[in-house]
Amino acid sequence: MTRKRTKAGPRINEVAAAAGVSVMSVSRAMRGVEGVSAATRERIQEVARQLNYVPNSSARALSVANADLIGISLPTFANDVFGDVLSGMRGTFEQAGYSSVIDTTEYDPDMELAWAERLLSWRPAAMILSGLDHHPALVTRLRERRVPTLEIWDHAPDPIDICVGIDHRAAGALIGDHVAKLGYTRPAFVGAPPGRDRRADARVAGLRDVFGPLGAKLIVQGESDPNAFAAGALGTTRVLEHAPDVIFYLNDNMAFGGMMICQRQGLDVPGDIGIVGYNALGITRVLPVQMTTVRTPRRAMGRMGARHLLARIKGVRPERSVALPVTIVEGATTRLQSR
Amino acid sequence: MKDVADAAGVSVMTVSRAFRRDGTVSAETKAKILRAADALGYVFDANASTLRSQRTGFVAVIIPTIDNPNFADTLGALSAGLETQGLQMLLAYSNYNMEEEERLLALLLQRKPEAIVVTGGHHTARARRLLQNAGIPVVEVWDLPPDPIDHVVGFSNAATMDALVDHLVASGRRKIGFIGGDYSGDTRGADRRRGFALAMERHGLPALRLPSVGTPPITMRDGAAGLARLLEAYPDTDAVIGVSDGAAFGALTEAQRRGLRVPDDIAVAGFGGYDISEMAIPAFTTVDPLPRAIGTATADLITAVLRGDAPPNGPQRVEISPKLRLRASTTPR
Repeated sequence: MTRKRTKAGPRINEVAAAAGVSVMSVSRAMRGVEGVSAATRERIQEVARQLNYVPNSSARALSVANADLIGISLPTFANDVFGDVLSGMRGTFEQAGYSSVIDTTEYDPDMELAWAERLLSWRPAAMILSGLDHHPALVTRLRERRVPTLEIWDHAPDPIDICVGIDHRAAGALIGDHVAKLGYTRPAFVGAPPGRDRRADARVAGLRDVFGPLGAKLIVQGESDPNAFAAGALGTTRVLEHAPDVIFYLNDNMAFGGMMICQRQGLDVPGDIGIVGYNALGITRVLPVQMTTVRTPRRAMGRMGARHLLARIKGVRPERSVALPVTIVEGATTRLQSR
Repeated sequence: MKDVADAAGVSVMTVSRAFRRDGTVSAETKAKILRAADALGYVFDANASTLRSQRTGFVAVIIPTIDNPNFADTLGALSAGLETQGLQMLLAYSNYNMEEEERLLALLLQRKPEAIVVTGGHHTARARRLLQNAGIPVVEVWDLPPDPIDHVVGFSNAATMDALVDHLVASGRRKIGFIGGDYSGDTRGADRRRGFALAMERHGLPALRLPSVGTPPITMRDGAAGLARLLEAYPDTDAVIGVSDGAAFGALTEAQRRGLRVPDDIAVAGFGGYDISEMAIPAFTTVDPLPRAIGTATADLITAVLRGDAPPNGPQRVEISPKLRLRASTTPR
């Protein structure tokens, strides 16, 4: 009953052949006009249902109507970061009369492929994918069909089509360098399990770029609890066994969870341990102690991505790949170390 | 359908075409038909017609914002539930603006969804008409409107404040405030504030401490500013409720900044059951609206209506019962 439609979808003559009637009868039966008996109509409709045949009129209506539709794939809804990126895109798309379909992939390239294939059958004006980890079949399909495609959030030197994002490895190196210069020597990172989130892996690589040459080994702890606060708390409990002097986190919410653990264990921040977040989310603006973090330009990224994609849809070639700068928020959860 | 055709003086086929919006019926004729249908209370039933074969495979969903953990949870569960039926969610967000919701509705309906989910029971008059005439199942979620358009999956936002206020009063607090935002678009937030005032009245207490800060979704920073304003006007406030857990957490940090002890000097509670309510020190009391349950129940309902062997008869009303989660921020003094 809910059998998946094949790529192209059955044609009217296939329905006619399967039902043993003429193409005209199928057309009549599907449109509900006279000229076929009730019994024949019933039979044709049953065959059409089994084949998942979509009558031409609605297929045409769909393909025409979707010329102003943009498909957006996010890794997850449970993330403040993508809410901001979407808000940044919103005004630009709205003014130009585009609407969007959003779905999540839970970091699974197969899920993204399945979603994208369904969406591509509606012939959208463009696609937006977050990150760079896509199914090879999807990359091929988007390139072959020349679908305007924006990859957002990460920076790719060679995107599928166009890209606006952050170089997360460079961001890792930037904050790592800042913290190393404060005199910290026993760094730890609490983030996602390796291989799950490319951005987390890139950040780790950036931190190692800095601390490696200094002879400081980075302790890495991955947590997969979707509750960022709980994941940060658990990861912190684990890395504290290695007695780090500073902990970097995948994001501010995890850092907050970590701070609460330090507080519970009687550790003073920044006296006993340094805490470094990422993104400069809303939570960092209300904490009694300003958190050291990295501000990511999420709205600006959304705005620029939307503008570039609109240009691309209209046939203008925007810059192929843009890396936006991040800035360090120097807070009171880190401080200069006495040697 | 024949009655509508007779009343409008057109053929049955024209009525069918008008409801299918296939563009072959003039705007004038269509308006005439819709008026006649309205007067007769006729609702176009796509499932019963030959259009059954026109399955587009998607369900339209309009929410106020994705920048809110509650809606994110509802969407996650809804999307997962629909996916098992091969249905795709067509999601758009209104930014707490009813006119925008109306605009989005018109857009989404053109794409012929098989069902539509909207947030809350308040809509513009035209949006209501669009939904009533859509000819597909409509589900209003996150609310229990007195005059539902079709199906409903939700809870009474006003009633959630009853148990919370009862708890605060029983724990010895009397001077209770409520921090919220600009309510013009966030009707559920407005309902909670109204519920708060009614509950206070029931206890013979005045509900005057009602600072309003920022536009929805209320940020943590707005919550902090709200408590600051509340304490300026009423320094003896002994408990505060945030319209959301974001606002409540902001208020908690503001209390701590001022050297107030929670819960000894001031109790803090919120709404939403956000992750942070458990992680904050102290953890704070909240009303958990079970957002995932709302998403799952909505997906189940849509599945039953569109794909079930025995679809439910008539509009369904699925009530979700929010849970009061008591934490250290409101322990009795």
